[in-house]
Amino acid sequence: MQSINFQPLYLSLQLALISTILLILIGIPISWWLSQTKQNKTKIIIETIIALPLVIPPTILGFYLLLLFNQHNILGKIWFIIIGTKLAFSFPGLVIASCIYSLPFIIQPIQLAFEKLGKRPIEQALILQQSKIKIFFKIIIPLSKTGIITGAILTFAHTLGEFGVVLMVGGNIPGKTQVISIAIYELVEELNYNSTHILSIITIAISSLILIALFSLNNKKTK
Amino acid sequence: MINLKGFYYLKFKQFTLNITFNFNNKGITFISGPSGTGKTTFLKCIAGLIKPNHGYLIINNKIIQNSNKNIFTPVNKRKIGLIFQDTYLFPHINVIENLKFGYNKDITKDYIEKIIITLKLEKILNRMVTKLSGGEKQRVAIAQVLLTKPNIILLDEPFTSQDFNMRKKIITHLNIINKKFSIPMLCICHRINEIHDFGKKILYINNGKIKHVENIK
Repeated sequence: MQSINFQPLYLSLQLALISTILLILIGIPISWWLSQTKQNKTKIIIETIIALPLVIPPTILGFYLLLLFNQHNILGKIWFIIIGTKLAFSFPGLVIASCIYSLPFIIQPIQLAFEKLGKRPIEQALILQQSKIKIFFKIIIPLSKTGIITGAILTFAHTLGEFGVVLMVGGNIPGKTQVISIAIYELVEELNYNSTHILSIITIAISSLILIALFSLNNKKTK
Repeated sequence: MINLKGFYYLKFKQFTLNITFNFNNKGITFISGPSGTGKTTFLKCIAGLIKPNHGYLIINNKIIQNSNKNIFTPVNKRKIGLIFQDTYLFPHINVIENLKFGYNKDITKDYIEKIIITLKLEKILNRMVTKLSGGEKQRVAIAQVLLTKPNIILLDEPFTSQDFNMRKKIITHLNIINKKFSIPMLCICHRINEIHDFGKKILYINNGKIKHVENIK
């Protein structure tokens, strides 16, 4: 029996995990700002930019990111000066692209959770003479836990299933940028259905487990 | 003796309130008046939860707020306790953790114990707040505010959602606290007949002004 290369699966899981951690760190302050800001032009523009990956084809986003990551353009140039490597067709490039592509999936559930909290917990904590930092970490974050976990699960699952953006930005370099979706695409092209089935079933199982976790969490919340 | 001098103007309500009065820590000072006269807004302005468009607030000759000089002491630095009409406790933690959240650094173990005993909280300390009755929640909220060692306690209709017996109990508790801890209290209340035995002074507010002051013997 032909041996199966699990490297793309590890790479996908690694990409999903790093992107999710980074997006939680980036997403919480942005979501907080959005939830506390009254509707104005700036807020509308920022919300539109964040939600854009939901509506534009991933290949378009990938194309422009590829241009941006090019060594002759701003982001690629800065990266090269600081890190000394190319950003396009690299794993860090994939991470940045995934973070941009999955941003709406982390922002929206967390923003909704913050908005649902209302003013009362914050007012109560202020009356109890606590600092804003303490209120944020001891009250707001724990009370918005479900929204944060939902956002994290959705981001992880979404990153795992990425194809268009990662193909454009990372190409198909085995061990470096070849993630599971691209590996499966290549296996189908080679008519290697056996390996395709195995990798696909593993991916479906992982995705199903993620969805079960998500729905269990939502069920617990509504009880 | 607490001296409170305040004026505020809120653009969204087109409302002006001009109040100057003294109240001391013996007995509870009640505020009464028709709905929509700005009683709750008045308390929220004192606490700092609402920032008036124009106005000033002086407590014991200390400027807490002055819009002309751009002075606005934030809520968490005012040392003013506010107990809301709808009691709110943090639902993700139990009673003792709710109480600890507001601990003032200077309070002693004796003071904490005194509050817990006065408000009869010994048996519910480890209970989650979602399992508390309305009266228990109210008592925990009062204890929570007391543990911050405030200079004044403001109460916004703390009896509204309670039945007659519970109202009596809460007023009794407040009165005991007032006597034991010597903290001045300013309380909005509609049921004047029920508070007569406990109040020191009743301020009747209408159209943003004190219309009448009744001293209770």
